Amino acid sequence: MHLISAYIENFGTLSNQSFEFNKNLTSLLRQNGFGKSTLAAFIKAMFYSLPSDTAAKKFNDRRHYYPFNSGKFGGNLVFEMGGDTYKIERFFDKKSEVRDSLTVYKNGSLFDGFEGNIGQSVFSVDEETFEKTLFIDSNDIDSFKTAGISKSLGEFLENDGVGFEKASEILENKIKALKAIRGKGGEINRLNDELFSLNSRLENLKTISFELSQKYSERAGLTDKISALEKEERKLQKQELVRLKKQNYDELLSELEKNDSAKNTLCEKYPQSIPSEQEIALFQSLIKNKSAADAALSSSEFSEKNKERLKALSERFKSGIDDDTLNSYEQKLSLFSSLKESPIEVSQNYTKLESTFKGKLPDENTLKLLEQNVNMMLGTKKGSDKKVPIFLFVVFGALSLLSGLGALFLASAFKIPLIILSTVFFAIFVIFAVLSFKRTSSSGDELAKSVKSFLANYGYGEDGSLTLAYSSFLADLKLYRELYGEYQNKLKEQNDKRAKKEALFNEISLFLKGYGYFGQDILSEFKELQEDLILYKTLLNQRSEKESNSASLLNEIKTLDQKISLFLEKYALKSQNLFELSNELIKDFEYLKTLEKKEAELKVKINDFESKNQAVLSEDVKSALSKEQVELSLSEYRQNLSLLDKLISDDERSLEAMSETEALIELKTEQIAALTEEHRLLSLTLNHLKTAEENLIKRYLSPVEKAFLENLFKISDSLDDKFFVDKDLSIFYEQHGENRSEMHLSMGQKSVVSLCMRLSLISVVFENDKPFIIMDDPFISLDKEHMKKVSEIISRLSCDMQIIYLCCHESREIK
Amino acid sequence: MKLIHAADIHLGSPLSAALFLEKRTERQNELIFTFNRMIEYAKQNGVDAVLLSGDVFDSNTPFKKHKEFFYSAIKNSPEITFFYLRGNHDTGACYTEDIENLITFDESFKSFDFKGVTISGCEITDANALSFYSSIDLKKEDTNIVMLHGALSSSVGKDKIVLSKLYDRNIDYLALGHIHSFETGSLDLRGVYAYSGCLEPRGFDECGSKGFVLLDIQNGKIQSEFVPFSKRTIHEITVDISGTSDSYSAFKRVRESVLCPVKDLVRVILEGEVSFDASFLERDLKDFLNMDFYLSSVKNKTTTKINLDDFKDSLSLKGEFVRSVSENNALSENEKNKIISLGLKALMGEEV
Repeated sequence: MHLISAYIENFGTLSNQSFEFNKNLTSLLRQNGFGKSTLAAFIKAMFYSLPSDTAAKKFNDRRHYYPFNSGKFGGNLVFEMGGDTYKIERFFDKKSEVRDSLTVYKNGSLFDGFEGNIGQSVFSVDEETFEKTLFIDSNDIDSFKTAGISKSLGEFLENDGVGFEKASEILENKIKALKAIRGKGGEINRLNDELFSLNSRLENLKTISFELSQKYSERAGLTDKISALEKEERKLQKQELVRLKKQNYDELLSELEKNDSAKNTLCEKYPQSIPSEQEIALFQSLIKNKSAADAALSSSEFSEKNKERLKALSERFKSGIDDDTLNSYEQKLSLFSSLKESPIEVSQNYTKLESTFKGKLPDENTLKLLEQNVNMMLGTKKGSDKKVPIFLFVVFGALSLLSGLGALFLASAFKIPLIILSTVFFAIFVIFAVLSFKRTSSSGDELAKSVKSFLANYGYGEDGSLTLAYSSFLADLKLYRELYGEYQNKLKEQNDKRAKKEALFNEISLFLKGYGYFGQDILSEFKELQEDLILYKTLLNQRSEKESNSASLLNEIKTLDQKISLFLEKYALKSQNLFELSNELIKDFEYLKTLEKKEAELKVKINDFESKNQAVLSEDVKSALSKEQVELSLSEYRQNLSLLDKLISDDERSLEAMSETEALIELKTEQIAALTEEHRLLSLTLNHLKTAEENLIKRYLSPVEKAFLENLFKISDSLDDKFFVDKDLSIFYEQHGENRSEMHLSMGQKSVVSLCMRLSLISVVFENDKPFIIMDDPFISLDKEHMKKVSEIISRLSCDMQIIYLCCHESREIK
Repeated sequence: MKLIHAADIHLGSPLSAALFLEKRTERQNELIFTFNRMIEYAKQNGVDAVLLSGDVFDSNTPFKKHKEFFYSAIKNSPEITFFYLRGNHDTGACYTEDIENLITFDESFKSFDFKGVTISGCEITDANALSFYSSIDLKKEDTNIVMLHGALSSSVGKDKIVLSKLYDRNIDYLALGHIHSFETGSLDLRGVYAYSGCLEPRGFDECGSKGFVLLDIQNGKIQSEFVPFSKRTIHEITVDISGTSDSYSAFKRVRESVLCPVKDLVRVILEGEVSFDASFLERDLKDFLNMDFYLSSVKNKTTTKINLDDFKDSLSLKGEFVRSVSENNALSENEKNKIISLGLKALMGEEV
């Protein structure tokens, strides 16, 4: 490819400047300040743009070449490549690359086939590589090695997968991931930190474990103490048991003694011994029989009381009384009892009517007169006679009037007389009707007053109709008369009854008096008479019976007395009351039996106890401590043990993590070892990869070195030291057995060496399609001789590639 | 009369911790429950006594809860007599209670007559390691069982048992503890010895059947039979996955090779040479097996197959790299293999 032309609108000091470039050598001799370097920078900027002006202090190319006249910053560049003509038109923003404008034309048409960086697309190298190869100025280059150059140099090799860079990146990433080169990053460091923590934790757990062992010992001591105290406690319990048993035994002995004492007391009471059960029973029987006999004897005698009673009754009934008479009077008494007076019941009506009519009952004449008055008051017999005449008068009067009116219509001579006649009769009938009415009215009033006054006396007619009052009066009067009659009948009846009852009373009373009774309360006295009579008869019978029983009882009593006396004598017993004695004997006998039974039981218990508890009886168990002391200590120790057990449990729970911690430590240690080994292997791998890469570079560096040395030889024969190029494309030379950097060379020598290196790199990197070279006065340090040689080489080079040579002095002009 | 001979219960053991991290608590409980099950078995089968030949507890100072559990189990089984001889783990004052049906031993050789059978024992210490043998004086006409804890050895010492010193001592059955797998052999013309092994395996070093020995004594003759009793068994299986082309086929081969009950634990050791990346095989296979078995562990001992001839003349970074590694004599073959695998993976853009 080669440059064709450039138009600079504004770029640094250059404005509106056009340049045409020769296909081979374009040599521009311009004075200082013209803008030769600006032109070179413009060409580079067209391909690679300008970096943004971001850093305040950094004086980069954008700031450097911003036009002073503030015009449009940029221009265009035309070049040929692969038979096509391209035009790059760029205008730059003052500050930012983002606001730059770029237009590319290919053969006059818009073209967007350059992906990303135009320079990279056209030259296949980055800007740095471009600067170090195709862009030659007088500045020193520390190292010609760029990534682009390395990559380019390696491109002729076989396909190596992702290449060294990527592969080493993969390895380095992995190595860093395992262990950071600087700092504490990486999996291994992390695991080491974890291991450290785990070991710390384990140390703590071991401390707990140690303390736990001490706690176990303490626990063992406590349990021993508790066991000892429990033993003492059992001793105390046993001691208490022995004491209780002994106490029980003593109680038994005491009870036996008491029993014996009671027995002795009892025996003293009966010096001849206590009778046997059968003898006591017999004695009891004798007493009982004697008592019965005595009772029978007593009962067989007729008592004084009965005698007197019999005497009194005999006196009363000396006259005798037979059953028939008694029965007769009993009947009479019964009749007397049945005759009961009961009060006469009167109805309320009677009571009310009696209050009206009592003491003022009207006689028949008064009633007749009243009736007349009432009738007259009413004015008619049976009510209808007085009304008829008035009615007739009215009717006749109406007929007369009608006939008179009718005569008006007669066309007759009698018309007027008929009219006058009817009118006269009408008047007469009217007058009679009125007179009749008046007469009736005036007599009726007087009668009404009379009737009313009469009735009022009985409380009738005060309000309402007189006729009604009269009717009521009559009805009530009738009723009163009926009720009065009934009452009178009942009264009579009662009186008859009373008289009869009185007669009976007198008769019975007289009868009773005949037997010495009072005759007042005849009912009870008659009953008493009956009872007395029965008693009288009974006493008479008793007296005769008793007299026959006495003799045999006396004999029996005598026999019994003898037997009883013998018994008492035998056992030296005395008592006034044999029954009491007998009870006492029974009681004492039972008591003795009880005592004997109890004695036997006690002896059995005592023997049993002695046989079973011989050891206890002889035992003398004594505890050194009191019960309270033991209980207190036990309580305290048990409480302590409980607390200690809790602490032990807590520690054991904590220590359960110990094995897990140890396991984790083991695991982490293994992991660290494995990762460390992996790290070591990866490092070795990387080193070997680098070595391999260097070997390869060396292999492909040899063309570069060879070309360099050839160029060097051509240009300078003063540099006869052995030069060589390292893998970083740094130039060294051997002098006096030492390797020295080319920085030790003079300026002129350096420029020659630099030129040779660039030319060799160009020949290797751009093996086929070499682009242009821009030389911005790079030989200012060369002497005339070297300049001449360089000129020749440049001229020769220009036959194969486009060279744009810029200088400011004719001594260095190349044509 | 029936007796059970068991040992190495290791109550309270943390187990092989790294391995059982996921199921540690569960396995610890299973260990305790198996001991309980053994007692239930004894009750149901009319066993008269249980002989515990050491290491009932895992530590000199076991947790209180484990001691309480043990003593409670004994107290609640009054029909069974427990003979407890301490081992190398549970020395010290482990038992602090006098329980009627618990008979213990100490450093002196003791004998107890149990229903016509003489049961003896001695806890071997540094002090009596040599002398206790001379204390053994058992009657020929008796049925004699001796309990000891230690490893068979040709020399005397703490936790060591010299079998030759027990010959012709009228021992009918030597009930041993310390070795965690069942093992038996002739003692002399009269008697046999046996390690009952542990009741439950606690790590991958305890593969195989675990349980106790059931002794049946009839007319003075002892017949013994190992009773597998553990809830789970650990199996270790080596699988050669050479020739498998990818992880799927490797999984398949492994699964076909692991034939054990799903309730058990398996450890698979992968061997062989594979051409695919087997670095994730250990983790993935473990997850895969954990779906089928109670717990699994995988150890990857495979090597990656690399044909160095492919890279001999290669003008590439790969080739250069392989040559560089191969020519480094400071590296072992295994290291070279791994470095080359890593480098090639990186050059292929794969994560390493």
